[in-house]
Amino acid sequence: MNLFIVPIIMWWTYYVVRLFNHARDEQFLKMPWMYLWLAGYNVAWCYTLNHFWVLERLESSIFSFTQFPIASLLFVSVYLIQLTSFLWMVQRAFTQLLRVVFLVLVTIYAIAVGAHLTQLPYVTLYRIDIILIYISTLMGGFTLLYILRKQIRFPASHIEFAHLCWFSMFCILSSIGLGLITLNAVAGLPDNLTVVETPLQAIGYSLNALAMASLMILTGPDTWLYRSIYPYRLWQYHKLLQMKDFILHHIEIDPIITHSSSEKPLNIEIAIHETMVTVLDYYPYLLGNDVLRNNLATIEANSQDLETMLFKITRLRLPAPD
Amino acid sequence: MYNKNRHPLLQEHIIIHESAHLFLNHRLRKITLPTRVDESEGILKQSSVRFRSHLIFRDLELDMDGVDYQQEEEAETFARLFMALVHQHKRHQDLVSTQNVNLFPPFSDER
Repeated sequence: MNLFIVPIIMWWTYYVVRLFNHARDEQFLKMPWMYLWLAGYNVAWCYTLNHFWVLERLESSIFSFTQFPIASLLFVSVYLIQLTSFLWMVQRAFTQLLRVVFLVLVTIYAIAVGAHLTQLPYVTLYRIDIILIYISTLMGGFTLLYILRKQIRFPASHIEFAHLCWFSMFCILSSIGLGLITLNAVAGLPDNLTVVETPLQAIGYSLNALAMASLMILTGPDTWLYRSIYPYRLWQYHKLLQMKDFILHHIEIDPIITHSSSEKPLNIEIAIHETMVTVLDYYPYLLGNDVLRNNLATIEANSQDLETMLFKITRLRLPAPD
Repeated sequence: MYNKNRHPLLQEHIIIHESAHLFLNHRLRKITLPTRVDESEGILKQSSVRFRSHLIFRDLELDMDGVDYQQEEEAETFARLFMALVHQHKRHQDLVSTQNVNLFPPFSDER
């Protein structure tokens, strides 16, 4: 049994619940999340079909009534329609710069259909599908990544940041994974080899599975997504801790209370909050560090919330020790 | 007493800190500021960032005893934990209520 089937069913079931949760939304059909949901579901099927033996079995069982390679065409169609709709969504929401990308996708699809109308061997068709899918995925994935990066204004919320991280991970892993599969397909194309499943292909599939896992995390509940950026929060905490230690060593008064800060706090959010209060509380007493004090005062004056302050403080450079 | 020019995060922390002294039924110390306005203003001004009892005690040439230090620490710990938990709860509510965050705004018909 295909290992992808179980997560697909879980994923889809989970999103059906979400779909009903938003059913009363007045802008139901205009919310991009619904298209994301459809896209996520579609991508899962793409990955399921992305196996030569699955396609072969489909041709010989369900589509055995015709010689036309329906499963193969279905495979490439699902991929390309998926990418086109995904890009259409983004383009409709944000930009009109993607017309060239659409044009290339339509051209690729035309080539794919043309190839299926010829009498090429099935394994060659599969290889052509793979190459076309790779080109379109690279183009679509990285276009989306570029738009997502442009859309997010730093300091981003935790969820926005997590989206960016996991989508970047998805793009990188799927590019390498599909790249290896494509390399395998290109290598076998001239000799018309009938064996598709090689070690290179297996590594490619493994990376694709990891890319799939990244996408699943990305579309998971926000509470899970939030936990997934713990390493980043820990890095921010350590930068803040350095700032606090520096301030407490260079202030003109003795702090009446010094809370010991742990390197690995039990609760990162409480630790960040406490440390931020200490920094705010004591930086006005900094002695002989006017630049740093002024920078901190500017950050305090221009930041609405803790996260904005944290983002800016972690980018401050501490003065060199005397 | 808190400085309204400081960040709201610190303002709310100070309010909770001072309230904690009341909640925890801390000992009251009576202090007498100098009758001369410029002197009392000077004492308050040097701690204008935050009303710091140990600085005022120092300028009034009064000693803080062990109980004062302990009470300050209790109030500070109370305020830090209280505010951190409030913020944590608020964040959790935000995360739960914005399931599948609307990272992208709704489509607009205007092109």
